[in-house]
Amino acid sequence: MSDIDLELLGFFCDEATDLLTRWEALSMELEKSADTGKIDELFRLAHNLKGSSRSVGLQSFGNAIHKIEDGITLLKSGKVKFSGDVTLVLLKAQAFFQEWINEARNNPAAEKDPTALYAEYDRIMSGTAEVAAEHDETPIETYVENSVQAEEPVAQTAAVIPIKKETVQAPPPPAQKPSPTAGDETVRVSARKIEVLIEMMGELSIHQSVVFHGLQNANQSRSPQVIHSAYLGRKLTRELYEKTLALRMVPVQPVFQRLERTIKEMARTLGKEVEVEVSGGEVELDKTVCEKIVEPLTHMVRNSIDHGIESVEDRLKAGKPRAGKVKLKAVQDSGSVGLFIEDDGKGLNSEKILAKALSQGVITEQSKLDPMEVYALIFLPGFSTAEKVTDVSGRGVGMDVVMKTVESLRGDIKIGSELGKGTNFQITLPTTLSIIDALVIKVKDSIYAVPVSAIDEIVNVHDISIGRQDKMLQIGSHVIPVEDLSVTLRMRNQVDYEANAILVVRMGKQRIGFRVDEICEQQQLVVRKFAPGMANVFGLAGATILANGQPGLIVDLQFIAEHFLSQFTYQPMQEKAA
Amino acid sequence: MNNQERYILFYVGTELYGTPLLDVREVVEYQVPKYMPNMVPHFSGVINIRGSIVGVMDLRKKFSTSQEITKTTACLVSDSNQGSIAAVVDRVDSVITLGDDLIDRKPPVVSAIAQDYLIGVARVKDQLVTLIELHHLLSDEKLVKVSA
Repeated sequence: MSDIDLELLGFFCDEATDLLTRWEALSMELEKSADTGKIDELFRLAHNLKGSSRSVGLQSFGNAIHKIEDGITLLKSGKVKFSGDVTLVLLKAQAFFQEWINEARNNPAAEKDPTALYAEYDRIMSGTAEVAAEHDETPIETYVENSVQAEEPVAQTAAVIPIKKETVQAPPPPAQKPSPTAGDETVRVSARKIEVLIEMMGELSIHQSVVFHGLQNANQSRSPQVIHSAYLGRKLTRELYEKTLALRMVPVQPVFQRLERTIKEMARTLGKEVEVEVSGGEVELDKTVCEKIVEPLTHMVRNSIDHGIESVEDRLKAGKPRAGKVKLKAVQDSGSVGLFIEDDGKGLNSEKILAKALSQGVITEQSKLDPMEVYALIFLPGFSTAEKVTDVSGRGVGMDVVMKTVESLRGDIKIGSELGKGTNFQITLPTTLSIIDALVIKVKDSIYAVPVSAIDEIVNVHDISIGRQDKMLQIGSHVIPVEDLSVTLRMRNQVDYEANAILVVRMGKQRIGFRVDEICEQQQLVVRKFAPGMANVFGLAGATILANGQPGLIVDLQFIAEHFLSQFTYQPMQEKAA
Repeated sequence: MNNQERYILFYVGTELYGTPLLDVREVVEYQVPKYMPNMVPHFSGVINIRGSIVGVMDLRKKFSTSQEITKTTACLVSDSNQGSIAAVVDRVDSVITLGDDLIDRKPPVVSAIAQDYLIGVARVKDQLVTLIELHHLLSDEKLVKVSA
């Protein structure tokens, strides 16, 4: 084991992860239709994995793969029939090997005990083999066909997850998922290198805009060529910048694949029948967003299967098709991506949710909530943990965590539901975390930036009357508190200023207004995290470089609002009956 | 031959200081920092150095001398454990090589610098130079006054 080359090992781990991801997809596709081409691909994949693992010195890993490879040969020859159980073993093996790879990456000498996997494998493979042997008479022909197909270049299956290419894949027919390798040649690049590129591009754009404005303002007439080149240069820089940012984007397909797997496994455990429909897997999200959203989405689909989709008997009784349906869909919007999870289960029971909220004292008898507000109650922390609302009405456990994660990604969740018909969640996420739409504001003559997503409403001070020593503001029939942003941000007080605008922030049902001098403009800004020594400072979310090249600070309005409101046991006034 | 090391010498007020040259990434012209609320008083804000956000610590404020901005005011940028930080000084003097024998290590004197960051005192051109571990100082200094 001592002669393992660490660099080679890294390459192998990357490659193996890709192969195993494809393995996962193939296993699930095979369950739908046991087509020989796919079994063949799986076989080649295992064979590949075995070969390359041994070449980097992971002998025992290779041996374990070899054992599974034998099983796939049985499938190939038709000696073992494909079944749900086989899928299960293949998926278990996939998980087992993936874990091994993850460990081996840090510790090349890592060994995992495959005994449990072997036992399961032997049980399924030998068990079904006997049954299959009785009915199946055509193994040899199939094998010949396969060996012809096996001449396809193996390299295709070993391709890597696409980083980004400008090719737009045509949306595939729903039943057939795009393979992650589909026709897109890729190069593996370290995230750090891309980060450096993005930083440099950001800087280049700033200088470009300074040069451009300088040229525009120069009063002498310049040579037309120079002007022309300046325009072209600006256009190219902008495009280059966008393309560089897009390097971090990855398709959501692998996320959907993991969800599909979770759904299948859950359904099998609970003895339910579920069909999964996936669309929009080619839609791209920032890699970080993709990584962070997996957990919440997993939680949501688990809820859908556990509490949404009914058992087969219940479904038949309700006059629904035997198998429940879960749709996973991604839709690209300008600047954001919508992720949809829809099920045709029993839906959320508003009455049960209301009763629960009432008993927990979250709302009062007088509260009049519209359906959206009722559903939003399931996102309250601890809402369902005390007593299992989930058993009766639908969802709840940990939905507050889901909401927190989505909010931390500057996203949003909408719920729609119809009792007996199903539930749908719509999660809207920004395509990238590194660029935000921000308002550049002036506070006490000092410039700050605020993410547009944090602001619920902007009020012009001159349009309204502010009462009670400028401490309150009436919007519709609501009265909301108003504070100076400079005070809540604890800025040093030295400049006199005139407040012209109020930024209204919403925290659940509560709202608060922050007074600022003025709103200067809207800009797209690249967010930079603070260095460790400056991180965690009160009220600031990060730094940025403004269009004029000056450093700017991004104010965390949501945090300040939360902090301010937590000082009071503030009850928002109820909507007056019309 | 004894150990030799290069030091960059700079003035804070009328005092001459020195710090190991390799601890300083670059020296840049002073630029007015963007004020950042909720930080300690001698943290003056952030500046943009070629596209990266760098924190600014005013050594003059830390050492309680006048914070006047002149033509010679400069920033010594160091990659501390807290990120890139620019230390504001009144004037950068020179770079010299000092042998171990010229440095009086950790003399028992009371100064504005905590003993932890003090390397020692050296005599250069008839002047006493206080040698400090700037990198160490910038790494340890608490910058955030009110944290989230």
